[in-house]
Amino acid sequence: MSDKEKCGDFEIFKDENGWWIVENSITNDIIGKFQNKEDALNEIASILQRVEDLSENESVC
Amino acid sequence: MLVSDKEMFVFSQNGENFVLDPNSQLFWRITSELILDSDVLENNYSKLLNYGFFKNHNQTKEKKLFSQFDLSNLVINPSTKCNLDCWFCYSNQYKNYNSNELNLKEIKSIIQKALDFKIRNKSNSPLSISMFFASEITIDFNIFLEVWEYIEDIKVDYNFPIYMFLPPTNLMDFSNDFVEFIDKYGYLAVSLNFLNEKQRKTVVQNLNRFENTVEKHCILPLNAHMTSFFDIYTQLLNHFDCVSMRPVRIPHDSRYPWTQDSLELFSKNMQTLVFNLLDLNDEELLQMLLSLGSSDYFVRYLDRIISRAKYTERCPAGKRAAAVNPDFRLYPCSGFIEIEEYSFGTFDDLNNADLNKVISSNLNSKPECKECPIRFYCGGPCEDWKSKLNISKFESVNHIECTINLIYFKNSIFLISKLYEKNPEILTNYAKEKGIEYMLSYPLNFEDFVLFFS
Repeated sequence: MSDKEKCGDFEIFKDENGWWIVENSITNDIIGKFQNKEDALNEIASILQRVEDLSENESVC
Repeated sequence: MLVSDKEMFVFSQNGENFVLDPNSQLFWRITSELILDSDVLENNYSKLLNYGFFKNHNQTKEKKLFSQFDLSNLVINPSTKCNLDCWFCYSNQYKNYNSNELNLKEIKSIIQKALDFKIRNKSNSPLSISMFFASEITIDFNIFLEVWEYIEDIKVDYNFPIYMFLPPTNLMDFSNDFVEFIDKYGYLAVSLNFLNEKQRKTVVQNLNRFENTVEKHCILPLNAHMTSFFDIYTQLLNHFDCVSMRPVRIPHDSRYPWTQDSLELFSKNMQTLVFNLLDLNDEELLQMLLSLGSSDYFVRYLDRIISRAKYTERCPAGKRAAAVNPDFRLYPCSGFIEIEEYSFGTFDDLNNADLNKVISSNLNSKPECKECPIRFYCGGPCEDWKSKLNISKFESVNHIECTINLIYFKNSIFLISKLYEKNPEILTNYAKEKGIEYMLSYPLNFEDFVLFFS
Protein backbone atom coordinates (compact mmCIF):
# COMPACT_ATOMS: atom_id res chain seq x y z
CA MET A 1 0.00 0.00 0.00
CA SER A 2 1.39 3.42 -0.94
CA ASP A 3 1.46 6.40 1.40
CA LYS A 4 -1.84 8.13 1.86
CA GLU A 5 -2.19 11.60 0.39
CA LYS A 6 -4.57 13.79 2.31
CA CYS A 7 -6.86 16.58 1.15
CA GLY A 8 -8.87 17.68 4.16
CA ASP A 9 -11.30 14.89 5.04
CA PHE A 10 -10.34 12.89 1.97
CA GLU A 11 -7.42 10.55 1.34
CA ILE A 12 -6.17 8.68 -1.66
CA PHE A 13 -3.82 5.72 -1.68
CA LYS A 14 -2.90 2.74 -3.82
CA ASP A 15 -3.95 -0.64 -2.39
CA GLU A 16 -2.23 -4.03 -2.69
CA ASN A 17 -4.15 -4.80 -5.89
CA GLY A 18 -3.07 -1.61 -7.61
CA TRP A 19 -6.38 0.25 -7.21
CA TRP A 20 -6.38 3.92 -6.27
CA ILE A 21 -8.72 4.24 -3.32
CA VAL A 22 -10.58 7.41 -2.33
CA GLU A 23 -11.53 7.33 1.31
CA ASN A 24 -13.27 9.66 3.72
CA SER A 25 -10.78 9.67 6.59
CA ILE A 26 -13.37 10.82 9.14
CA THR A 27 -15.94 8.10 8.48
CA ASN A 28 -13.47 5.59 6.96
CA ASP A 29 -15.94 5.12 4.11
CA ILE A 30 -14.42 4.04 0.82
CA ILE A 31 -15.80 6.48 -1.72
CA GLY A 32 -14.42 4.76 -4.79
CA LYS A 33 -11.71 2.62 -6.41
CA PHE A 34 -10.03 3.84 -9.54
CA GLN A 35 -7.58 2.40 -12.02
CA ASN A 36 -5.43 5.49 -12.05
CA LYS A 37 -4.60 8.34 -9.73
CA GLU A 38 -5.99 10.97 -12.07
CA ASP A 39 -9.47 9.46 -11.83
CA ALA A 40 -9.18 9.33 -8.04
CA LEU A 41 -8.23 13.01 -7.93
CA ASN A 42 -11.11 13.83 -10.26
CA GLU A 43 -13.47 12.05 -7.90
CA ILE A 44 -12.33 14.19 -4.96
CA ALA A 45 -12.55 17.34 -7.10
CA SER A 46 -16.07 16.35 -8.07
CA ILE A 47 -17.10 15.78 -4.44
CA LEU A 48 -15.63 19.11 -3.38
CA GLN A 49 -17.52 20.92 -6.11
CA ARG A 50 -20.83 19.45 -5.07
CA VAL A 51 -23.06 22.22 -3.89
CA GLU A 52 -26.78 21.78 -3.69
CA ASP A 53 -28.78 24.69 -5.00
CA LEU A 54 -30.75 26.22 -2.21
CA SER A 55 -33.20 28.98 -1.85
CA GLU A 56 -34.22 31.04 1.10
CA ASN A 57 -37.07 29.44 2.89
CA GLU A 58 -38.00 32.16 5.27
CA SER A 59 -39.70 35.47 4.84
CA VAL A 60 -37.17 37.27 7.01
CA CYS A 61 -35.16 39.37 4.67
CA MET B 1 -12.31 41.60 -8.34
CA LEU B 2 -12.61 38.66 -10.63
CA VAL B 3 -9.22 38.00 -12.20
CA SER B 4 -9.64 39.19 -15.79
CA ASP B 5 -12.39 37.04 -17.31
CA LYS B 6 -11.68 34.05 -15.08
CA GLU B 7 -14.14 32.67 -12.60
CA MET B 8 -11.61 33.30 -9.85
CA PHE B 9 -11.94 36.00 -7.19
CA VAL B 10 -8.76 37.14 -5.46
CA PHE B 11 -9.21 39.59 -2.63
CA SER B 12 -7.59 40.77 0.56
CA GLN B 13 -9.00 41.48 3.98
CA ASN B 14 -7.06 42.88 6.92
CA GLY B 15 -3.79 42.30 5.07
CA GLU B 16 -4.48 38.65 4.29
CA ASN B 17 -5.17 37.30 0.82
CA PHE B 18 -7.86 34.90 -0.29
CA VAL B 19 -9.06 33.11 -3.41
CA LEU B 20 -12.66 32.20 -4.08
CA ASP B 21 -14.10 29.84 -6.65
CA PRO B 22 -17.50 31.55 -7.00
CA ASN B 23 -19.23 28.48 -8.44
CA SER B 24 -18.20 25.76 -6.02
CA GLN B 25 -17.92 28.37 -3.25
CA LEU B 26 -14.62 26.88 -2.14
CA PHE B 27 -12.29 29.51 -0.73
CA TRP B 28 -8.67 29.41 0.30
CA ARG B 29 -6.24 31.58 2.16
CA ILE B 30 -3.02 32.47 0.36
CA THR B 31 -0.18 32.35 2.86
CA SER B 32 2.69 33.10 0.50
CA GLU B 33 3.01 36.39 -1.35
CA LEU B 34 4.68 34.39 -4.15
CA ILE B 35 1.34 32.86 -5.05
CA LEU B 36 0.00 36.33 -5.89
CA ASP B 37 2.50 36.67 -8.73
CA SER B 38 0.35 36.70 -11.85
CA ASP B 39 2.25 33.85 -13.56
CA VAL B 40 2.09 31.63 -10.46
CA LEU B 41 -1.57 32.43 -10.00
CA GLU B 42 -2.27 31.64 -13.65
CA ASN B 43 -0.37 28.36 -13.38
CA ASN B 44 -2.28 27.28 -10.25
CA TYR B 45 -5.53 28.39 -11.78
CA SER B 46 -4.86 26.22 -14.83
CA LYS B 47 -4.00 23.19 -12.70
CA LEU B 48 -7.25 23.40 -10.77
CA LEU B 49 -9.25 24.28 -13.87
CA ASN B 50 -8.32 20.84 -15.24
CA TYR B 51 -10.20 19.31 -12.32
CA GLY B 52 -13.32 21.43 -12.87
CA PHE B 53 -12.62 24.16 -10.34
CA PHE B 54 -13.26 27.78 -11.38
CA LYS B 55 -15.65 26.64 -14.06
CA ASN B 56 -19.09 28.08 -14.49
CA HIS B 57 -21.41 25.10 -14.45
CA ASN B 58 -24.48 27.28 -13.88
CA GLN B 59 -26.20 26.58 -17.12
CA THR B 60 -26.59 22.93 -16.36
CA LYS B 61 -26.66 22.83 -12.56
CA GLU B 62 -29.11 25.51 -11.59
CA LYS B 63 -32.70 24.66 -11.16
CA LYS B 64 -35.47 27.05 -11.88
CA LEU B 65 -37.09 26.98 -8.51
CA PHE B 66 -40.14 29.09 -9.04
CA SER B 67 -41.95 28.58 -12.30
CA GLN B 68 -45.22 29.91 -10.95
CA PHE B 69 -46.60 31.68 -7.94
CA ASP B 70 -47.15 29.17 -5.15
CA LEU B 71 -48.41 31.04 -2.13
CA SER B 72 -46.83 29.82 1.09
CA ASN B 73 -46.34 33.04 3.02
CA LEU B 74 -48.99 35.71 3.38
CA VAL B 75 -48.61 38.95 5.30
CA ILE B 76 -51.69 41.04 5.94
CA ASN B 77 -51.14 44.66 6.89
CA PRO B 78 -54.45 45.95 8.22
CA SER B 79 -53.12 49.37 9.20
CA THR B 80 -50.03 51.52 9.75
CA LYS B 81 -50.78 52.44 13.36
CA CYS B 82 -47.73 52.63 15.57
CA ASN B 83 -46.77 54.22 18.87
CA LEU B 84 -43.28 54.99 17.59
CA ASP B 85 -42.18 56.94 14.54
CA CYS B 86 -38.87 55.36 13.50
CA TRP B 87 -37.27 57.25 10.63
CA PHE B 88 -36.26 54.06 8.79
CA CYS B 89 -39.64 52.29 8.95
CA TYR B 90 -41.01 51.34 5.55
CA SER B 91 -44.55 52.07 6.62
CA ASN B 92 -43.67 55.79 6.63
CA GLN B 93 -43.86 55.70 2.87
CA TYR B 94 -47.18 53.93 3.01
CA LYS B 95 -48.72 56.50 5.33
CA ASN B 96 -48.37 59.04 2.54
CA TYR B 97 -50.69 57.02 0.36
CA ASN B 98 -53.35 55.38 2.40
CA SER B 99 -55.18 55.83 5.63
CA ASN B 100 -57.62 52.97 5.21
CA GLU B 101 -57.73 50.10 7.65
CA LEU B 102 -58.90 46.56 7.22
CA ASN B 103 -61.48 45.35 9.69
CA LEU B 104 -61.73 41.81 11.01
CA LYS B 105 -64.33 40.79 8.42
CA GLU B 106 -62.10 42.04 5.61
CA ILE B 107 -59.05 40.24 7.04
CA LYS B 108 -60.99 36.97 7.18
CA SER B 109 -62.14 37.56 3.63
CA ILE B 110 -58.53 37.96 2.45
CA ILE B 111 -57.49 34.76 4.21
CA GLN B 112 -60.39 32.92 2.62
CA LYS B 113 -59.42 34.22 -0.82
CA ALA B 114 -55.82 33.12 -0.23
CA LEU B 115 -56.99 29.62 0.73
CA ASP B 116 -59.32 29.47 -2.28
CA PHE B 117 -56.43 30.57 -4.49
CA LYS B 118 -54.25 27.71 -3.21
CA ILE B 119 -57.01 25.17 -3.77
CA ARG B 120 -57.73 26.55 -7.23
CA ASN B 121 -54.05 26.17 -8.06
CA LYS B 122 -53.83 22.70 -6.48
CA SER B 123 -51.15 23.90 -4.08
CA ASN B 124 -50.47 21.67 -1.09
CA SER B 125 -47.55 23.64 0.31
CA PRO B 126 -47.92 24.90 3.89
CA LEU B 127 -49.29 28.40 4.28
CA SER B 128 -47.92 30.71 6.96
CA ILE B 129 -49.86 33.84 7.72
CA SER B 130 -48.70 36.89 9.59
CA MET B 131 -49.98 40.39 10.20
CA PHE B 132 -48.91 43.85 11.22
CA PHE B 133 -45.60 44.16 9.39
CA ALA B 134 -46.49 47.78 8.65
CA SER B 135 -47.81 48.65 12.12
CA GLU B 136 -47.42 47.76 15.80
CA ILE B 137 -49.08 44.47 16.69
CA THR B 138 -49.75 45.31 20.35
CA ILE B 139 -52.06 48.21 19.40
CA ASP B 140 -54.58 45.91 17.72
CA PHE B 141 -53.65 42.69 19.46
CA ASN B 142 -57.32 41.79 19.92
CA ILE B 143 -57.63 41.60 16.13
CA PHE B 144 -54.58 39.34 15.96
CA LEU B 145 -56.14 37.05 18.60
CA GLU B 146 -59.41 36.89 16.70
CA VAL B 147 -57.62 35.99 13.49
CA TRP B 148 -55.53 33.42 15.38
CA GLU B 149 -58.70 31.77 16.68
CA TYR B 150 -60.30 31.94 13.25
CA ILE B 151 -57.35 30.11 11.70
CA GLU B 152 -57.37 27.53 14.48
CA ASP B 153 -61.03 26.86 13.63
CA ILE B 154 -60.70 26.55 9.88
CA LYS B 155 -57.31 24.91 9.42
CA VAL B 156 -58.67 21.39 9.97
CA ASP B 157 -60.68 21.80 6.75
CA TYR B 158 -57.58 22.02 4.56
CA ASN B 159 -55.17 19.35 3.43
CA PHE B 160 -52.15 21.63 3.79
CA PRO B 161 -50.80 22.99 7.08
CA ILE B 162 -51.74 26.56 7.99
CA TYR B 163 -49.63 28.42 10.54
CA MET B 164 -49.85 31.85 11.99
CA PHE B 165 -46.83 33.62 13.38
CA LEU B 166 -46.15 36.85 15.19
CA PRO B 167 -44.37 39.86 13.74
CA PRO B 168 -41.82 41.75 15.85
CA THR B 169 -43.16 44.27 18.36
CA ASN B 170 -41.55 47.46 19.63
CA LEU B 171 -42.62 46.36 23.14
CA MET B 172 -43.47 49.89 24.24
CA ASP B 173 -46.98 49.32 25.52
CA PHE B 174 -49.04 46.14 25.63
CA SER B 175 -51.83 44.35 27.43
CA ASN B 176 -51.75 41.40 29.78
CA ASP B 177 -53.43 39.42 26.99
CA PHE B 178 -50.28 39.90 24.97
CA VAL B 179 -48.09 38.72 27.86
CA GLU B 180 -50.26 35.65 28.40
CA PHE B 181 -50.19 34.82 24.70
CA ILE B 182 -46.40 35.19 24.44
CA ASP B 183 -45.82 33.12 27.58
CA LYS B 184 -47.73 30.27 25.94
CA TYR B 185 -46.30 30.88 22.48
CA GLY B 186 -42.75 30.78 23.86
CA TYR B 187 -41.14 33.26 21.47
CA LEU B 188 -40.93 37.03 21.38
CA ALA B 189 -39.33 39.11 18.63
CA VAL B 190 -38.65 42.75 19.48
CA SER B 191 -37.70 45.31 16.87
CA LEU B 192 -35.48 47.88 18.55
CA ASN B 193 -34.34 51.27 17.35
CA PHE B 194 -31.00 51.30 19.16
CA LEU B 195 -30.64 55.07 18.83
CA ASN B 196 -33.92 55.60 20.69
CA GLU B 197 -32.81 55.58 24.32
CA LYS B 198 -36.36 55.74 25.62
CA GLN B 199 -37.29 52.60 23.70
CA ARG B 200 -34.13 50.81 24.87
CA LYS B 201 -34.94 51.49 28.51
CA THR B 202 -38.63 50.65 28.13
CA VAL B 203 -37.92 47.40 26.33
CA VAL B 204 -35.44 46.26 28.98
CA GLN B 205 -37.99 46.95 31.71
CA ASN B 206 -40.85 45.33 29.80
CA LEU B 207 -38.94 42.14 29.05
CA ASN B 208 -39.30 41.29 32.73
CA ARG B 209 -43.04 40.86 32.27
CA PHE B 210 -42.51 37.64 30.32
CA GLU B 211 -41.61 34.19 31.58
CA ASN B 212 -37.93 33.23 31.52
CA THR B 213 -38.86 30.29 29.32
CA VAL B 214 -39.83 32.64 26.46
CA GLU B 215 -37.09 32.86 23.83
CA LYS B 216 -36.43 36.56 23.35
CA HIS B 217 -35.05 37.70 20.01
CA CYS B 218 -33.94 41.29 19.42
CA ILE B 219 -34.15 42.44 15.80
CA LEU B 220 -32.00 45.48 15.41
CA PRO B 221 -32.22 47.63 12.28
CA LEU B 222 -28.61 48.58 11.61
CA ASN B 223 -28.13 52.11 10.35
CA ALA B 224 -25.20 54.20 9.24
CA HIS B 225 -25.03 56.08 12.54
CA MET B 226 -24.37 52.99 14.66
CA THR B 227 -20.87 52.04 15.78
CA SER B 228 -19.25 49.56 18.23
CA PHE B 229 -21.17 46.54 17.01
CA PHE B 230 -19.55 44.20 19.51
CA ASP B 231 -20.66 46.40 22.42
CA ILE B 232 -24.17 46.58 21.00
CA TYR B 233 -24.39 42.79 20.67
CA THR B 234 -23.00 42.15 24.16
CA GLN B 235 -25.17 44.82 25.74
CA LEU B 236 -28.34 43.40 24.20
CA LEU B 237 -27.39 39.81 24.91
CA ASN B 238 -27.62 40.68 28.59
CA HIS B 239 -31.36 40.90 28.04
CA PHE B 240 -32.11 38.81 24.96
CA ASP B 241 -31.37 35.20 24.01
CA CYS B 242 -30.35 36.23 20.52
CA VAL B 243 -29.79 39.39 18.52
CA SER B 244 -30.12 39.96 14.78
CA MET B 245 -28.60 43.07 13.27
CA ARG B 246 -29.54 43.83 9.70
CA PRO B 247 -29.01 46.92 7.56
CA VAL B 248 -31.92 49.31 7.07
CA ARG B 249 -33.25 49.68 3.54
CA ILE B 250 -33.69 53.40 3.23
CA PRO B 251 -33.89 56.15 0.59
CA HIS B 252 -31.02 58.54 -0.09
CA ASP B 253 -32.77 61.38 1.74
CA SER B 254 -33.05 59.50 5.05
CA ARG B 255 -31.72 60.82 8.31
CA TYR B 256 -28.64 58.58 8.17
CA PRO B 257 -28.32 57.49 4.54
CA TRP B 258 -25.86 54.94 3.27
CA THR B 259 -23.14 56.97 1.56
CA GLN B 260 -19.58 56.23 0.55
CA ASP B 261 -18.38 57.67 3.88
CA SER B 262 -20.91 55.79 5.99
CA LEU B 263 -20.16 52.55 4.15
CA GLU B 264 -16.46 53.00 4.90
CA LEU B 265 -17.33 53.53 8.54
CA PHE B 266 -19.52 50.43 8.44
CA SER B 267 -16.60 48.47 6.99
CA LYS B 268 -14.31 49.62 9.82
CA ASN B 269 -16.94 48.74 12.40
CA MET B 270 -17.25 45.26 10.94
CA GLN B 271 -13.48 44.78 11.05
CA THR B 272 -13.46 45.86 14.69
CA LEU B 273 -16.30 43.45 15.45
CA VAL B 274 -14.32 40.57 13.94
CA PHE B 275 -11.20 41.40 15.99
CA ASN B 276 -13.32 41.77 19.13
CA LEU B 277 -14.76 38.31 18.48
CA LEU B 278 -11.28 36.88 17.98
CA ASP B 279 -10.22 38.26 21.37
CA LEU B 280 -12.76 35.99 23.09
CA ASN B 281 -11.80 32.57 24.37
CA ASP B 282 -13.08 29.60 22.35
CA GLU B 283 -16.11 28.93 24.51
CA GLU B 284 -17.18 32.59 24.69
CA LEU B 285 -16.70 32.95 20.96
CA LEU B 286 -18.81 29.91 20.12
CA GLN B 287 -21.53 31.09 22.47
CA MET B 288 -21.50 34.57 20.99
CA LEU B 289 -21.77 33.26 17.42
CA LEU B 290 -24.63 31.00 18.43
CA SER B 291 -26.40 34.01 19.97
CA LEU B 292 -26.57 35.85 16.68
CA GLY B 293 -30.15 35.52 15.47
CA SER B 294 -31.47 33.86 12.35
CA SER B 295 -31.98 37.14 10.53
CA ASP B 296 -28.61 38.64 11.42
CA TYR B 297 -26.76 39.60 8.24
CA PHE B 298 -23.33 38.67 9.56
CA VAL B 299 -24.45 35.23 10.63
CA ARG B 300 -26.22 34.86 7.30
CA TYR B 301 -22.86 35.12 5.54
CA LEU B 302 -21.03 33.02 8.12
CA ASP B 303 -23.57 30.22 7.73
CA ARG B 304 -23.64 30.40 3.96
CA ILE B 305 -19.84 30.26 3.73
CA ILE B 306 -19.54 27.36 6.16
CA SER B 307 -22.31 25.35 4.51
CA ARG B 308 -21.45 26.62 1.01
CA ALA B 309 -25.14 27.20 0.51
CA LYS B 310 -25.95 28.29 -2.99
CA TYR B 311 -28.70 30.84 -3.34
CA THR B 312 -30.15 31.41 -6.77
CA GLU B 313 -33.06 33.38 -5.37
CA ARG B 314 -32.88 36.29 -2.98
CA CYS B 315 -36.13 35.64 -1.15
CA PRO B 316 -39.63 34.27 -1.74
CA ALA B 317 -41.19 37.71 -2.35
CA GLY B 318 -43.55 37.56 -5.29
CA LYS B 319 -42.85 33.87 -5.85
CA ARG B 320 -44.12 32.23 -2.71
CA ALA B 321 -44.79 35.23 -0.54
CA ALA B 322 -47.19 38.12 -0.83
CA ALA B 323 -48.32 41.03 1.28
CA VAL B 324 -51.87 42.29 1.23
CA ASN B 325 -52.54 45.86 2.13
CA PRO B 326 -55.67 47.78 3.10
CA ASP B 327 -56.46 48.29 -0.57
CA PHE B 328 -56.81 44.46 -0.88
CA ARG B 329 -54.07 44.39 -3.47
CA LEU B 330 -51.13 42.02 -3.49
CA TYR B 331 -47.49 43.09 -3.35
CA PRO B 332 -44.33 40.94 -3.27
CA CYS B 333 -43.60 42.00 0.32
CA SER B 334 -44.65 44.59 2.87
CA GLY B 335 -41.86 46.91 1.74
CA PHE B 336 -43.68 47.67 -1.51
CA ILE B 337 -46.87 48.85 0.04
CA GLU B 338 -48.83 51.07 -2.28
CA ILE B 339 -46.14 51.22 -4.95
CA GLU B 340 -48.32 50.82 -7.98
CA GLU B 341 -45.78 49.28 -10.35
CA TYR B 342 -45.11 46.41 -7.91
CA SER B 343 -48.72 45.48 -7.30
CA PHE B 344 -49.76 42.26 -8.96
CA GLY B 345 -53.48 42.55 -8.55
CA THR B 346 -55.73 40.65 -6.20
CA PHE B 347 -56.27 36.96 -5.50
CA ASP B 348 -59.24 37.11 -7.88
CA ASP B 349 -57.29 38.29 -10.92
CA LEU B 350 -53.79 37.05 -10.20
CA ASN B 351 -51.87 35.72 -13.15
CA ASN B 352 -48.32 34.55 -13.53
CA ALA B 353 -47.60 36.74 -16.55
CA ASP B 354 -48.04 39.82 -14.39
CA LEU B 355 -45.84 38.32 -11.72
CA ASN B 356 -42.98 37.81 -14.11
CA LYS B 357 -43.04 41.50 -14.83
CA VAL B 358 -42.85 42.34 -11.15
CA ILE B 359 -39.73 40.42 -10.27
CA SER B 360 -37.50 38.44 -12.58
CA SER B 361 -37.33 34.99 -11.13
CA ASN B 362 -33.71 33.90 -11.18
CA LEU B 363 -30.22 35.17 -10.50
CA ASN B 364 -29.27 34.19 -14.04
CA SER B 365 -31.76 36.67 -15.41
CA LYS B 366 -29.84 39.54 -13.77
CA PRO B 367 -26.94 40.36 -16.10
CA GLU B 368 -24.80 42.29 -13.61
CA CYS B 369 -25.19 39.64 -10.92
CA LYS B 370 -23.74 37.06 -13.32
CA GLU B 371 -20.38 38.81 -13.05
CA CYS B 372 -20.45 39.06 -9.26
CA PRO B 373 -18.14 36.64 -7.40
CA ILE B 374 -20.39 36.44 -4.33
CA ARG B 375 -23.67 36.10 -6.24
CA PHE B 376 -24.50 32.67 -4.83
CA TYR B 377 -24.07 33.83 -1.24
CA CYS B 378 -26.38 36.77 -1.85
CA GLY B 379 -28.97 35.41 -4.29
CA GLY B 380 -29.57 38.74 -5.98
CA PRO B 381 -30.67 42.22 -5.04
CA CYS B 382 -33.46 43.11 -2.66
CA GLU B 383 -36.16 44.61 -4.86
CA ASP B 384 -37.58 46.53 -1.92
CA TRP B 385 -34.25 48.21 -1.24
CA LYS B 386 -33.91 49.10 -4.92
CA SER B 387 -37.33 50.67 -4.97
CA LYS B 388 -36.44 52.77 -1.90
CA LEU B 389 -33.49 54.11 -3.88
CA ASN B 390 -35.60 54.67 -7.00
CA ILE B 391 -33.62 52.05 -8.90
CA SER B 392 -35.71 50.57 -11.66
CA LYS B 393 -36.84 46.99 -11.22
CA PHE B 394 -35.25 46.28 -14.60
CA GLU B 395 -31.79 47.12 -13.24
CA SER B 396 -30.09 44.45 -11.18
CA VAL B 397 -27.60 46.39 -9.13
CA ASN B 398 -28.00 48.38 -5.97
CA HIS B 399 -24.42 49.44 -5.28
CA ILE B 400 -25.16 50.19 -1.64
CA GLU B 401 -26.47 46.71 -0.96
CA CYS B 402 -23.69 45.13 -3.03
CA THR B 403 -21.05 47.01 -1.03
CA ILE B 404 -22.62 46.02 2.27
CA ASN B 405 -22.85 42.39 1.18
CA LEU B 406 -19.21 42.36 0.11
CA ILE B 407 -18.16 43.81 3.48
CA TYR B 408 -20.10 41.08 5.28
CA PHE B 409 -18.66 38.44 2.98
CA LYS B 410 -15.00 39.48 3.35
CA ASN B 411 -15.24 39.84 7.11
CA SER B 412 -16.94 36.45 7.37
CA ILE B 413 -14.23 34.80 5.28
CA PHE B 414 -11.54 36.42 7.41
CA LEU B 415 -13.19 35.33 10.65
CA ILE B 416 -13.74 31.77 9.43
CA SER B 417 -10.16 31.55 8.22
CA LYS B 418 -8.88 32.76 11.60
CA LEU B 419 -11.12 30.34 13.48
CA TYR B 420 -9.88 27.52 11.28
CA GLU B 421 -6.33 28.41 12.31
CA LYS B 422 -7.19 28.97 15.96
CA ASN B 423 -9.33 25.91 16.56
CA PRO B 424 -11.35 24.28 13.74
CA GLU B 425 -13.61 22.68 16.35
CA ILE B 426 -15.21 26.08 16.93
CA LEU B 427 -16.45 25.93 13.35
CA THR B 428 -17.53 22.30 13.37
CA ASN B 429 -19.25 22.70 16.74
CA TYR B 430 -20.94 25.87 15.52
CA ALA B 431 -22.23 24.05 12.42
CA LYS B 432 -23.41 21.13 14.53
CA GLU B 433 -25.24 23.35 17.03
CA LYS B 434 -26.87 25.33 14.23
CA GLY B 435 -27.82 22.21 12.29
CA ILE B 436 -26.01 23.35 9.16
CA GLU B 437 -23.76 21.18 7.05
CA TYR B 438 -20.03 21.79 7.54
CA MET B 439 -18.69 22.00 4.00
CA LEU B 440 -15.14 23.21 4.57
CA SER B 441 -13.59 19.75 4.80
CA TYR B 442 -10.66 20.56 2.55
CA PRO B 443 -7.34 22.38 3.09
CA LEU B 444 -8.14 26.08 3.36
CA ASN B 445 -4.52 26.80 2.52
CA PHE B 446 -4.34 27.42 -1.24
CA GLU B 447 -0.77 26.16 -1.59
CA ASP B 448 -1.62 22.83 0.09
CA PHE B 449 -4.74 22.46 -2.01
CA VAL B 450 -2.96 23.09 -5.30
CA LEU B 451 -0.15 20.73 -4.26
CA PHE B 452 -2.64 17.90 -3.72
CA PHE B 453 -3.94 18.28 -7.26
CA SER B 454 -0.48 18.72 -8.80
